[in-house]
Amino acid sequence: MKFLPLVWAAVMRKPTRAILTLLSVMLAFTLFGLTIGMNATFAKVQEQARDDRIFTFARFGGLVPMALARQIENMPGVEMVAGSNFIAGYIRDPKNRVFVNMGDEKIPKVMAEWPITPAQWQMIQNDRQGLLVSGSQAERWHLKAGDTLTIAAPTAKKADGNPSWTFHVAAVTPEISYMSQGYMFGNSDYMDKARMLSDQGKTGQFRVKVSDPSKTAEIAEKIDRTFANSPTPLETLTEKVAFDVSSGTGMDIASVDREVALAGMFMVLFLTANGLAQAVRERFAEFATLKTIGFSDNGVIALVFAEAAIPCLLGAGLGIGFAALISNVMPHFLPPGQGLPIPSMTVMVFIWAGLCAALVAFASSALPALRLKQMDIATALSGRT
Amino acid sequence: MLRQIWIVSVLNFKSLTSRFWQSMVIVVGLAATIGVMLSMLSLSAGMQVAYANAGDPDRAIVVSKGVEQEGSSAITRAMAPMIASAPGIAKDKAGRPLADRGLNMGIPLLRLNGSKGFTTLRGLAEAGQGVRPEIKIVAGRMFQPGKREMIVGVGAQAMYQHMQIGDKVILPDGEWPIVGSFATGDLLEGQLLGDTETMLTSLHKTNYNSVLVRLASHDSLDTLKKAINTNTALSVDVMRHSDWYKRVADQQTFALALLGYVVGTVMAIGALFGCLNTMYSAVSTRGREIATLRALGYGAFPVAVSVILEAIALAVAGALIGGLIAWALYDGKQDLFGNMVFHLSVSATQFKLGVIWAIAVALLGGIFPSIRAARRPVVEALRAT
Amino acid sequence: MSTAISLRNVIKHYRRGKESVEVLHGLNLEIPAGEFVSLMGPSGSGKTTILNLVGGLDHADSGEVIVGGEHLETLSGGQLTKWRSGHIGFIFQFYNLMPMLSAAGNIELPLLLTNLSKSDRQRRVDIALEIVGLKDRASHKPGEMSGGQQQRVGIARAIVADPPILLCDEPTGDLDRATADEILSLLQQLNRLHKKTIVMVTHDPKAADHASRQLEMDKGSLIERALVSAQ
Repeated sequence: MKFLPLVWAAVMRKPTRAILTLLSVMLAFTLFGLTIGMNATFAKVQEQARDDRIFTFARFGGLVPMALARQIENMPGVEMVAGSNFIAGYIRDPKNRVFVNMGDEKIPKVMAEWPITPAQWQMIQNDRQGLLVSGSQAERWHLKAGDTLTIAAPTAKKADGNPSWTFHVAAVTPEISYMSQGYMFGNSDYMDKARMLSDQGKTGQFRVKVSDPSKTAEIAEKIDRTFANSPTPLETLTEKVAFDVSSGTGMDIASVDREVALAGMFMVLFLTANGLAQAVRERFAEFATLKTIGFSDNGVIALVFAEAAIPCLLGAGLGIGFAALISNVMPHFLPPGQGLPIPSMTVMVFIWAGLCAALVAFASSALPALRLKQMDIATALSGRT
Repeated sequence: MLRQIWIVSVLNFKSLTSRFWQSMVIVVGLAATIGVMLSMLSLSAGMQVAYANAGDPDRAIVVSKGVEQEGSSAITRAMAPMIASAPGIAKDKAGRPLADRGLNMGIPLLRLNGSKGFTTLRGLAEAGQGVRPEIKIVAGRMFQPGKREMIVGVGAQAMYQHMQIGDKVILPDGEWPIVGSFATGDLLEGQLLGDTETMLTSLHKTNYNSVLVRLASHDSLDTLKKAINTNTALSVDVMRHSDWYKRVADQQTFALALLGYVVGTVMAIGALFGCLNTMYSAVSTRGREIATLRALGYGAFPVAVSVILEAIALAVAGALIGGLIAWALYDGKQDLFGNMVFHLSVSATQFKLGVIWAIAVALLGGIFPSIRAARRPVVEALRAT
Repeated sequence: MSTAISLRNVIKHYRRGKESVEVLHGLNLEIPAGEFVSLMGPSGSGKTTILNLVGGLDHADSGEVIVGGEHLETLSGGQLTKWRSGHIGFIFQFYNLMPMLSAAGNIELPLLLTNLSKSDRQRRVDIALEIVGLKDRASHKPGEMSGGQQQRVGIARAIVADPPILLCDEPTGDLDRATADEILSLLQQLNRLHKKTIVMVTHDPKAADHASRQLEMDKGSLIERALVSAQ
């Protein structure tokens, strides 16, 4: 620690250069944070996917009859099946898109870990037009309990052709972390009863709760096989698969993120290595002087490493911080319905950033350190003396 | 003046070799930035191209009012002939209107890596090939109307399992063999085609999803629109096919393109600081040289311009290198995103973008150092070691 | 008085391109503790080489280099470095100060290698500043000082760890007459009052006159210039 003033003075020898380097490093680490942070979000979402739940929907589109839900419930290993649907529409202006999940009375039990209290679920059972709105959505649309909300949904018209659905906001509820843009929950009964008679008793998808997590994949396949030749063939995904973004898009986003982060690190490495090499070159006689005073080879090398490490670590910290800032601001610029995952700066992200910073510092100081070690003090000093 | 700029710039470049590694910082910085940005944009750019190719401006699509996706649209059996008989539609050799009743729905498939994906099952009616002359059978044969047969796009063949001629696709009423493969040069290549009427029966559906017409002439869209909009029995939207796909393309690619630009911006700013660093350093290193030139009578402005030119040259070189790497790695590669199969695109447009960004970075990163170079008192610079 | 510095039969070569030039051909030198010795001679005659050998910055090809009882020729590079920090203080022609540290910061450098507490270090730096007469310049950077003041800082840095031996390479080479005299008086003070053994390499006969013993390098051997008692 007592060497800190010496190292700091070395770093700030050319203040402009030091600040510019720091800013460049900071931005590369901002990118690091955004990309690796996004991977962290994916990982978190994946973690929250339960291994005992399954999504089932109609293979060829359309609605699935609730009767099938009862049949699935009778299968061994299946605990319960809830039905859910959705209304995609807008509030007043087509730009104001909203997405309302409509669930049946079994949803609270199948999705037991959601932070909605039984009392709150009961509210939308008691009032079929009731709506539970997450905090972020309530804020966005200026809603509070007791408000009335009308949603226009041209793709989900009622039996009489009316695309308007009127809801009563029952409560504002806590966020569900993997629903990054918030949610709205309604009662599917409201949707069901308003449809044409031929469409009633049907829903959009089933959420199946399995009693033994080790049997989940097996049961998923069984469901598909059972109904393959029925009038409504089903397509089933386990929740783990459904939450996997790579699976959904067919693209390995995580490795793209890593490659981008790596490109940024490469840029930083080049910049830092170059700057340090130049600085050591310019101050070669100073280092020789330190050796005459009695600083050991390793001591001098340690000073050089510290000189590289300070901007790297500082830049890493600032960069990740800036990435966190951008992540918080980003959602406001995205049109709703664009489910872009928000990067999260988890502890792992910081650790990875720190490791990369240390590695960059290490690699940057390698060549200069070698030069310093091989330095012939007498010759180095004779450049000056 | 120009001559002075030229001479100073040439001198500048001659001394570049002595500042090689520092100059490389700019090249590497821009190469990384533009390389990453173009790589990321290759996705959205490729998707845009696929959509643009699919949307023929001499075609119009008719869907139910207010829908934004073909799959949510419903054109009844009664509506279809009304649409087909409207004015403004081209006729085939037999005098029949080139208006095709289409079906559009998702079908789950297994991707090559085993994960569950889905693509579009599209139905063509008798006028199908007339309206879409771009469909070319490359192997096997076209499906026969009335038969339960399908043809598969070459893109889908590359991305999904069991898509070869002879493989069977399972629909609710049984297995449909693939009898041929086709190419179109657009996003249809990722899809499966079959006979609309046969598919409707198989899927227990009654409504078509769309009617696609070939316009009599590019300008007959207005005639068509007028006729259809005045028909009160029809509640539909008529759009030029190219406009339809443009809107879908913009929606689908917005988030991806935004991501590419955000990443590019962050890295560009990082590269900018690196550039500033390098140019300040360069100006400092060349201090005596510049001062000598000025003492000899060269103006401050040519000196300043030469500094900026150096930055621009380095930055553009870096951008081109990065772009070339992105091009080599990704251009033309077939990729999959959701249900879209398309070719990644790193084209002249992207290169131009990269070069413009490089120039912008170089300008911003060169202007302050250039001012410093021009302003530094000659006497002071000559004295400096 | 015990001998502080002893060179016995020291041979040293230098490589200049492909050629190997022998600079010291079996040199012998005895310097008792407490002496102020000046070394003069033409460029390339080996004066700086002797300084580097005594200071442990370089190894002799053969012969013995004994400083303060320690046989330097038996010590490795690392051991020499450690030995140096308590036994030798260097003073350079171009001062070799760290431009980004203040005077006090520069002077403190040798003490960072010790286990002294911050306050102890501070105290010694103050003493050193006092001795060289720069107490009021403690927080100034080298760029803000004249040549003479910078050399004083260099001297303060050389004495702050209280080494018995000071090695000076052309300490007044870059200074004007008046300033040079001040510096040389300071060195004399350090020699007489603080009992430092000083070996000074110089071009300048007037500077050499300040020493208590003057030696001259002539074709690789040392000749006594004159045994002049300094003013």
